[in-house]
Amino acid sequence: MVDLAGVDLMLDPQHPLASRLLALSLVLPVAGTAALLFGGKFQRGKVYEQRTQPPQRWPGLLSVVLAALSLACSVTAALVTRAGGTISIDGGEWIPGLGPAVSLYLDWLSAALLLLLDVIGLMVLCFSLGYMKGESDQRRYFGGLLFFIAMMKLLILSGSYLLLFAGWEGVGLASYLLIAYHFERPLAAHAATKAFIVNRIGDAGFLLAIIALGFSCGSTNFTVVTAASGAIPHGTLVFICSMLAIGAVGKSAQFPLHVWLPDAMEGPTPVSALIHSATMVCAGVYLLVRSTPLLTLAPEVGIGISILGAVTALLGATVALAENDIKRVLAYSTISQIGFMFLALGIGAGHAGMYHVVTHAFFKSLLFLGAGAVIHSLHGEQNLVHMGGLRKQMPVTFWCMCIGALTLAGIPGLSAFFSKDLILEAGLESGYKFIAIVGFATSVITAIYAWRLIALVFLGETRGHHLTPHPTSPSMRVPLMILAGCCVLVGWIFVPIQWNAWRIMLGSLTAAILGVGIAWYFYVNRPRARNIIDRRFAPIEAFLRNRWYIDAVYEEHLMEGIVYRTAQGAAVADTLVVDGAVNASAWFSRQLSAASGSFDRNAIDGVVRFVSATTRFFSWPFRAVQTGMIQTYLLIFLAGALAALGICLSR
Amino acid sequence: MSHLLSLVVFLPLAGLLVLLFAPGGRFRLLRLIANAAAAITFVASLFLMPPFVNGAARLDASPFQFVERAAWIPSIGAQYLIGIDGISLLLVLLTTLISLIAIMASWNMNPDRTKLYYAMILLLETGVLGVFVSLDLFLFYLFWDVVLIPMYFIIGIYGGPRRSYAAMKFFLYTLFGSVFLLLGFLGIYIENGRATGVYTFELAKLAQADLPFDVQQWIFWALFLGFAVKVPMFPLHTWLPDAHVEAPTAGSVLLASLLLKMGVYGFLRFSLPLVPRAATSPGIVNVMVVLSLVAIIYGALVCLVQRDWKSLVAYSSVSHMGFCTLGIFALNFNGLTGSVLEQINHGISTGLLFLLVGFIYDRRHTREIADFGGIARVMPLFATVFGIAVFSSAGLPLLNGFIGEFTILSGAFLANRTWAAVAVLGIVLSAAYLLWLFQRTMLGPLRYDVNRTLTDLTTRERVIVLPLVALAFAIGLYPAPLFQLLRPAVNALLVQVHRP
Repeated sequence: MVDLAGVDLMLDPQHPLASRLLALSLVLPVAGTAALLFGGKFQRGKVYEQRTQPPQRWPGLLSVVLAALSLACSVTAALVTRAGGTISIDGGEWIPGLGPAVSLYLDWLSAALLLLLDVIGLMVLCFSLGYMKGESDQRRYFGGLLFFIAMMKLLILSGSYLLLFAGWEGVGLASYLLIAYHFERPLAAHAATKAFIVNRIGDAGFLLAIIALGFSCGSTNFTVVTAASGAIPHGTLVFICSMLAIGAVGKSAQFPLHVWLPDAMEGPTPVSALIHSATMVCAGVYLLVRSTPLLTLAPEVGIGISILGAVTALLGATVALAENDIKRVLAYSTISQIGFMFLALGIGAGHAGMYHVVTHAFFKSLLFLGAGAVIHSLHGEQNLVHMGGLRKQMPVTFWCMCIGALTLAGIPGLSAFFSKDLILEAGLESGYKFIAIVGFATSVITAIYAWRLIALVFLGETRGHHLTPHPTSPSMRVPLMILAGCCVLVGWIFVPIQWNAWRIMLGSLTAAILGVGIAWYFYVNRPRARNIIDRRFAPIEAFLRNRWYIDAVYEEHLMEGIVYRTAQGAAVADTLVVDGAVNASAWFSRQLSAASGSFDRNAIDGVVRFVSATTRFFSWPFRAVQTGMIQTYLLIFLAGALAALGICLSR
Repeated sequence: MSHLLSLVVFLPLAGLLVLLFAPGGRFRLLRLIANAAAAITFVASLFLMPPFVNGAARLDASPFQFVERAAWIPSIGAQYLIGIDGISLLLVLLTTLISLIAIMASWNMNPDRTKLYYAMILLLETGVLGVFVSLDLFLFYLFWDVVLIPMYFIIGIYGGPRRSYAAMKFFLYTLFGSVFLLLGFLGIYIENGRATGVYTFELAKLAQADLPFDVQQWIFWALFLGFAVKVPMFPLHTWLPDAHVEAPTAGSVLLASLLLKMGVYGFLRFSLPLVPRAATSPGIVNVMVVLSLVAIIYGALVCLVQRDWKSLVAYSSVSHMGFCTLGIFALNFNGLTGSVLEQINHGISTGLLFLLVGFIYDRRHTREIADFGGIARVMPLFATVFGIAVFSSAGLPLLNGFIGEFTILSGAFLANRTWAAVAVLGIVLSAAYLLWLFQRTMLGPLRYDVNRTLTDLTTRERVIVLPLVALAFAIGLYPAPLFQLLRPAVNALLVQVHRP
C-alpha cells in the first residue's frame, strides 16, 4: 500500500511548542523563496532589454521581515536546549533502503549554528537593502539568499546524514545561483560552474560515506550512528571518515579543493559575506564535528585532516599577504581560518574548532560587509592599490573594519583571540610539534595581512581613485556596527579559557602584536622599506602572487591536459573506432554484397547463360530451318522427298 | 476478467484507424484526432493504478495484475498473455505520458504528410506499451519489432539532413540485435520443450525451466545482443547519437524516454528470470558491470567535447543508461529498484532536455552550442526550466535524478565497493558537462544579435513542460510511494533470480 502517513511529522513530545517553532523557522524562508522566485511574472517585451526587471523594493523588505521572524522562532526554540536538552522531529523515510532519514534535530551544536545563521543572515539582508538599491533582478537576488538560508537550515537541523546531504547540495545550488547573479559577466558564470563542479568532487566522497554508514549502522540518523559507531569494523570506519573528510574539504574550500572559493568572489559582496565566509563554507567543519563519535575511533584520519588544515592555513595566509584584490584577500583569509578549524578538528579539539566557526563568522562577515561598503562607495573598485586614505570619508566603516581586522589578528579581548588560543593550546597538547609551529607561524602572518588590508584601504594618502565616494546608507552602517559589537562581546559571553595556559596566551599575544607591528612598519610607517623587501624577495612574491601555482597547474595540466584531452580522445575514439567498426562492418557488408552480386551476375548466372549460349550456338542449324513459314517447310519437304526419290532411283 | 490493459495498449491503434479514415488534407482535424487519442490513452492508463495503490497484500502473493490470457497460435504454444506488475505499471504510465507530450510537441509541425507522422507515433505507442505488458515471449518479440518500423519512418522522413543514413543505421543495428534476441528466445523455447515436453512461450513457465549452465550462458549472450543494442550499452551505442541528432524533436523524446527503456526492461524482465544462473554467474556479471561503468564514464567524457547541443544530450543518455544496467547487475533490491527509478527519471529529465532543445531549434534553426550564450536574459523562463532539467539530470537532491542514482549507487556499493567508487565519478562528470552546457548557452553576454529577439516559452510550450517539471519535483521530494509500488515486483524478481 502506498502509505501517505509516512510524512506525518512526529513532533517531539517533550517540546511540542518548540518543535513547531523550529519547523516554522525552516518553513518561513522556504515560503519566502517560493514567493520571490515564482510569485511574480517574468517581464515580457519585444526586445530583451525590456525583459529586465526594474528595481523593486518589496523583495528586500519581505525577506528582511521573514528573516527576522525566522530568527525569533529560532531563538525561542534554541532557548529550550539551553540546559543541554534536545529537540527531535521525525518524519519517516525519504529514500527508503537506508533507514528513516527525515528528521530534524536540535542540540547545542545545531542551536549555535542556527542562531549564527539567522543573525548574520538578517544582517546581510539588511545590508543588501542598501547595497542592492537600484539594481535590477532584486527578486532573484533576495530569493536566492532566502533559498540559501532555508537550505542551510535544512543542513544544520537535519538529524541524519542523508537529509543533511540534501541541504548540503541545496546550499551548493544557492551558492551557484548567487555567484552567477551577474551571469552576463563571463567570469561570474565561469566561477559559478567551477564552484559547483569542484564541490561535486567532495560530494562524491560524501555520498559514498553516507551509503557506507547506512549499511553499517542500518540508518544514517546521527543518534543511531553514534550508538552503532563502536561496532563498525575499523577498515570501514577509516573509509567512512576519509570520505566524510573529502566531502568536508570540498565544501570548506580546503587544500587541494580550495580553488573555487577565491573565484566565487565574483558574486555580490553581501553574498560572499554570508555564504562564502560565515556559514556555508563552515558546513564542512560542522559535518566533521557532528561526526566526532566516528572520528575519535579513526585517529589516523584525524591526523590527516589536521595536516591538511595546517597546510591550508599556511597557504591561505601567505597568499592573502600578496593579494591586491580586497575580496580575494578576505577569501584566502577564510580559507586559512577554516584551515585552523580543520587543524583543531583532527586532533580532537572539535569544540575549539566550532568556537572558532562562531567567532570567525562574526568578524569575517563584518570584514566582508565592510569591504562591500568600500567597494560600493568606490563605484566597484576592488584593487587595494587604488584605495587608501578612506578613513576620513568613511569613519564608521573604518572603525568597524578595524575591530574586524584586529579580531582576525587575534588581539586579546576580541573574540577570535579566545578561540584561536584554544586551538593553539590543543595543538601544543596534541604532541604534534609541526601542527603547533604552523599554527603560530600562521598567526603572525594573519596579523600582518589583516593590518595590511586596513593600512592599504584606510590609512595613508588617497591613491588612484578620483571619484567622490558614495555615502554609506544607514541600512549598511547599522549591520556593520552590530557585527562589530558581536566581535567584541561574543568572546566574553562564552569564555572557556583556562587561565593557567598563560604561556600559550602570551605566545599568541606576541604573534598578534608582532604581526600588526610588522604590517604597521611596512605599510604605514616606512612604505619605502617595503620596496626593498619586494625586490629582494621577488621570487617568493611571484610564488605567492600566483597562489603557489596551484590554480595554474589545475587549469593547464589537470583540466586542459588530462581531463579535456581524455575526453577528446574518447570522442575521437568513438567516431573512429567504435562507430568506425560499425561503419566498417556496413562497408564490408556492402562490398560483400557487391562481390556476391557480381559473382551472382558473372559466375552463377554466367554458367546459366553459358548453357543457354551453347544451346543457342548448337541450335542455329535447327533454328535456321525452324522459320515457322509453311512454304519453307513444304520446300524442305519437297527437297527431301526428291532427294529420297533420287537415292531410291539411283540404286 | 477486465480488459482494461488491452484497451490501454490498443487505444493508440484505434486512434490510428480513425486517423487513416480522416481526409488527408485536413491538418487540424488530423492533429486533433492524434492528440485526443494520446490523451484518452493517458487517462485510461491512470485507471491501472488503483490495485497497486490499495492492494499491497495481494501484490506480495502475485505482483502481476490485469492479467489477460487467450489462446493465439496453439500449435506452437504462443498465447496472448499480458499483465503488469509495479515495474511495468511505471513504464506504462511513462509511455502514455511521454507519447502524449511528444504528440503535443508536434503541434506546429509542417502540415505536409501529417497523417503518416501521427500514425507512426500512435503505432509506436502501441508497440512500446505492448513490450512493457507482454508476458509471452512470442508476443513480446512481435511488439519489439513493431516498434522499429514507425521509428524508422519518423527519423527517415521527418528528420534532419542526414536522416536516411541515421534511420538506416538505427533500423539495421536494432534489427541485427533482434535477430539474436529471436534466436535466444527460440533456444529457450526448444530447450525447455525438449526437457519438459511442453512447448510454450509463456514467461512464467519458461522461468521455471532449469536449463544447463552452458545453455543458459549462450542464451544470455543472445539476449544480451538484442537488449544491449537497444539500451544502448557500450560499445553498441553509436547508432544513438546519429538517430537522436537527426530525429525530429518528438522522435528524440520518444527515443530517449521510451525506446531505450525497452532494452533495460528486457534485461530485467527476461534475461534475469529466464537464465538466472548465467545472469548471476561472476563472469557475466563482471563483464556487464565493466561495460556499465565504461558507459558511465566514457559517455560523460564524450559529452564534455560535444559541440552540438542535441548530441551532448544524446551521449548523456549513454552515461545514464550505464547507471541503469549497473543497478540491474548489482542484483540486489536497491540496485534493481534504483534501475527502474532511474529509467523513469531519465525519461522525465532527458525528455525535458530534448523538448527544450527542440524549442530553441524551432526558433533559431541551429543547435550549435557556440551559436548561443546569454540566453537567460532573453528567455528567463526557458532558462529556469532548462536549469531545472539540468540539475535534475545531474542528480541534485530534492529533484528526481538523485533518487535513482543514489539508490543504484547504494545497490552497487552493497555488491562491490569499487563499482560504487567508479560510478560516483559519473556524478561529478555529469555536473561538469551539464553545467558547462548551461554556462555556454544560457549565461555570459548575449553574443549574437539574432538571439536578441527570441521569444520566451509560449503557453503551449509551458503546458508541455509543466507535467515533467512537476514530476521532477514530486519524485525528488517524496519518492516513497514509488518504492512501495516497486517492492513486491522487485522482491518477486529477486526470488526468481537467486533461487537455489
